Amino acid sequence: MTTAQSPVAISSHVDPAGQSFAERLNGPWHERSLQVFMGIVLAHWAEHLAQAYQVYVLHWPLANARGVLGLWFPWLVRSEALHYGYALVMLVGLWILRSGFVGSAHTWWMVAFWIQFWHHIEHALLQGQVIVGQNLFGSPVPMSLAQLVIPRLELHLIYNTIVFIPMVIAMYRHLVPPEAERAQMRCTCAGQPRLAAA
Amino acid sequence: MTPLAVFGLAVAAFAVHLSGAGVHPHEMAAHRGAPTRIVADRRIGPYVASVWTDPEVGSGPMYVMLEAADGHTFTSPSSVRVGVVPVSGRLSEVLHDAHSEPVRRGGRFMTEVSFDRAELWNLRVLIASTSGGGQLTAQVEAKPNASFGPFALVLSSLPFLIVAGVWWRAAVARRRISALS
Repeated sequence: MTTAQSPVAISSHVDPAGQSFAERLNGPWHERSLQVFMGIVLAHWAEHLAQAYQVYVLHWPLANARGVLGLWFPWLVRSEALHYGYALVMLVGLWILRSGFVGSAHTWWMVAFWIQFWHHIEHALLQGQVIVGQNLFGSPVPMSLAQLVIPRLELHLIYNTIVFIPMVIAMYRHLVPPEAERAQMRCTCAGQPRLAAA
Repeated sequence: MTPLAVFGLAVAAFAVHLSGAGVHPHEMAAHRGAPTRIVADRRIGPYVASVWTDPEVGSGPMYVMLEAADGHTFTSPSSVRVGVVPVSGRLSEVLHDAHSEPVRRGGRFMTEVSFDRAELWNLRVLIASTSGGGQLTAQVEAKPNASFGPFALVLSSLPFLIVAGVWWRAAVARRRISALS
């Protein structure tokens, strides 16, 4: 394969000296950054798993099933700070870690980003209605567009699922890339690239 | 856009969100399910009423939105009450007093009602005011409070299985790469 790089070339490429913070995040620090990011994503899913366990196994009333953090900090769940904070972390993470992805992995990663971006447009609509003091569609409470179709709390789970799926496809394509894409990668996420054939 | 600028924007967005949520805690309930309109523009005395609710089993909000009927000037009612009773008749009606909430036009009254079982319920809204009043009736079907049911347990577990699968596949690929280099 002619595009494969030698270990020397890779190591000089990964050397953080002279790189900006963004370049380091998407180069030598990309693997660790993605691990932290995925840890946050899984922690969020763990909260939903805990909630589902509280409702369906422990048979707690829905109002009391606030996951793990919500047990100690109920205001986090009541005020939506936890939900919105997580949505922001997702958006920021998807944006600042995007350039480490190449080829099809980058495409899938950006699909996840744009879905999450739309999720934020919905939150902005809700926020805007609170600020302006006028709700859309004559509703007594602020309404988002997706709530017209799915006016239930499952909407949150659906949003997280449709962002998670392209994100995890991107991760897979990034960690197990085709040879042509591996040669373009500036990070160590897929391990050391194969030596060029002599 | 640099990571610092992105971080700054995110902090600003979070601050705006918290300020809104602090002022109107129940209005920012983006993740609790939005109410749907079950009665639209029904005339009651000097008012035109709409009723919105999130009819899930357990405790749910009930909103009565009022506007002045044609030829009337809006005067705030002295009381708005909401009664709910199962159509089956297994329970007697429970009346809830709705409290007024600030709105720019007309009136909005809110109360929490309880549906203890997923079934059809009769709804009665009673309005009293100095310029007249009346009542409206409707029916609403209470639904289970999480329609995914126990499947939510499976759904919430899947991400862990998927990530474990990706991690395992990547580890295998890494070992193969290391062996070749």
